[in-house]
Amino acid sequence: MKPVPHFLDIAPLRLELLERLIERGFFFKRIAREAPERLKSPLCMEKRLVLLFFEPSTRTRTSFSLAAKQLGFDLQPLEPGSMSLVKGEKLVENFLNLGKLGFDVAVVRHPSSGALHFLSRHIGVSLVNAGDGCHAHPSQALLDLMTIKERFGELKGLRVGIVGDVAKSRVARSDIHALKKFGATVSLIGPPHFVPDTLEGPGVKVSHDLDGLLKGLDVLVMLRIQTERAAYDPLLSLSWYREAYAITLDRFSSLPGHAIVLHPGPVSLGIEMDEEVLKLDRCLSYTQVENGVFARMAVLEWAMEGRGRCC
Amino acid sequence: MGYGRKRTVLLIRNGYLIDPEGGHTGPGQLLMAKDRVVAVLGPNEPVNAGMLERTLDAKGCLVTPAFLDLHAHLREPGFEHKEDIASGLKSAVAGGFGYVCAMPNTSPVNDNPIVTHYLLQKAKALGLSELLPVGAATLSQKGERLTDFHALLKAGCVGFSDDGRSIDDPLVFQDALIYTGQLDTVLFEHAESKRLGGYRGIHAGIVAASLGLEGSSALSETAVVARDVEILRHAKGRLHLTHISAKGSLSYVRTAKEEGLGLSVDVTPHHLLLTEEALAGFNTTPKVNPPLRMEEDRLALLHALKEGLIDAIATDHAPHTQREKDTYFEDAPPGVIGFESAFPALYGLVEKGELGLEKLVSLLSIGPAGVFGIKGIGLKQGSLPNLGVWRVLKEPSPLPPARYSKGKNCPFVGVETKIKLQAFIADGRVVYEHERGFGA
Repeated sequence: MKPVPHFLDIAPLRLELLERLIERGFFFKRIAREAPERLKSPLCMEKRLVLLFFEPSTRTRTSFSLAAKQLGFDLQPLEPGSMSLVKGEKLVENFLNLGKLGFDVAVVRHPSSGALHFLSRHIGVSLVNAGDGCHAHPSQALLDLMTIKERFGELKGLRVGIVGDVAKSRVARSDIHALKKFGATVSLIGPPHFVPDTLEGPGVKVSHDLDGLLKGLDVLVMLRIQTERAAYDPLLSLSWYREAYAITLDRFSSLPGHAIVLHPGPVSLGIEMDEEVLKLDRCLSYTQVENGVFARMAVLEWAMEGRGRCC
Repeated sequence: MGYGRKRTVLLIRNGYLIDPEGGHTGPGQLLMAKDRVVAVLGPNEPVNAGMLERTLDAKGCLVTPAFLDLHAHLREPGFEHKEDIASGLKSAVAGGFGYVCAMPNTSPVNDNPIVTHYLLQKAKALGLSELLPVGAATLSQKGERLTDFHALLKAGCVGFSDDGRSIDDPLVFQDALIYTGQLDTVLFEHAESKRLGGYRGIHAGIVAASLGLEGSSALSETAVVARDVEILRHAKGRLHLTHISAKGSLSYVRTAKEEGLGLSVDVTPHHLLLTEEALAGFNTTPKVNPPLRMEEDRLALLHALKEGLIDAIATDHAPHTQREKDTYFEDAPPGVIGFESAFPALYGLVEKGELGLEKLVSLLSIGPAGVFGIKGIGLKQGSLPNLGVWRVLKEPSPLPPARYSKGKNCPFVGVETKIKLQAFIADGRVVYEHERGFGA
């Protein structure tokens, strides 16, 4: 089996590669404005890409589809349907079949942490992780980096707070790895069952007090409460959660004047974020969506670099 | 000569004897009959070798009693693709184990005498290690209704367990303990609470947090241990806590032992030698229940072992095929194999001066035997004629994959060791030799 590039996780990537991907994302963003007909990449034209989502998704799936189409991929969305919930061995078999069908890249989302790492040991199709369990969502981290860099020019030294169900958030995990690589510091904020002490490490602090930290943050990343990932919901009091951790106009005004608010979406309005905040200029959740397509174009193009058709 | 020469069959010469009871540790010779150790002789004492079937030269070797494993899964009946009694007991012998407790979570479950008879009959025909069946504590191990302890004991069971899970219902647990007191047997408990997040195969620590996996906290074990000890205090009887993994469990064990309750405990080689770090990168091989925990837990277990708080080391040999383990983390079955790697891997602790050799041998032989009150394991005149002969290597060499187990899920493959099993003696006969395998 020929080794092929996989985009599985931020953690093992070198800083230079991340910088390159971000720059490439900005390049695509500029070209899309100036000369959209030049977006198609010769590396990707006529190459076969399959989207396989074993979990529901709206924006990530759409974002990858648009990215693939603009690069000129031959795009096949596949409904996992009968493929869902298959065991490891069966999963590999299905992917081996994809290889035989001549697919070059598979963009995959799976409910189990590490599912793509396992697949990458067995198949010759380039895998792009669109989210695996609570583990990683590297393209989201990349678009978050783009969005922050676009605003601040530099990531080093920024103070980022991530608020919400961090324990179950693949977005948070990938953001943490990415931000640390660029020299930002991260505070993880939420109640103890969302933000356990085990998440603490070099450059990463755990806190249960949002109000105490607001003044010292440059970026606030708000997360949705992921009830679908819990066997049972430990959060009995949403009203309490709101009172302690939601970003309201009031709290927004405690942030420094230059600070921005991000949200990977979908937003649960009235729970972790108020509608008034979502509409503010310094809430960049729509910019994130926009940058998402360009970040993913950079990733897909990278996956095609230096490789021929597999299998 | 005064030791019944007509019945002697085997002489082991030039070995270094390790008697776990401390009596005969040092260079010596062993003269064996089919049913017992006939004599323990000094290295230069004359022996009339004319009547012997065989003389085994154990130069450069340690001679230990055969080990007793309190906790193993032989998978037969029902899961013969993972292991069967023959492959399992060969693997046990190749690891120096002469007595193997077989846990009841087979298909069908060993919850009735028919299954018990089947196991004993199969094992006996092999003439290798002795199989000690552990009966299910509840029917189908559902945790609801107790099995017929009396009938199972008569059939040959040595104890009871719902291993693979705890007995969640406190009333059922209490009643089982009461029976152990009445019938002079022992209840094995896998102390882990599903409700408190147990059975996830990875500790709720930094590795799980970074991999985005939900882990099992120490609480999922300690809460059950606390309950078990409290019920034991009231029900009396005999309880054995198997494969304890968390530092926090030890204080309950200490209290119970100080009070003189009928409690014994074992730990596994993997919990003594490995930590959660072994699971980095979604490694499924060391995925076990209860999970490998933190370094401070490992050190606390090791300390408790030296102190004498822990009675035995048991492998929890749990074979799975390569295909079953080669999947994404949540899909992989929990368990590691342990027979063939246990002593070679644990010997590293002796090499590093962290555990005495006699103590280690004791924890694998008379320690576990004491859990049932089994007598005769040792290197004395009259001891059972089952022994391991271990070659001490001059240079460390990496542990190879298991030779006989069908399971390939050994977390110690590649670990450097300075000891390997040279030969194994069952019923006074050499049944296994490293070079010749079982073919002799």
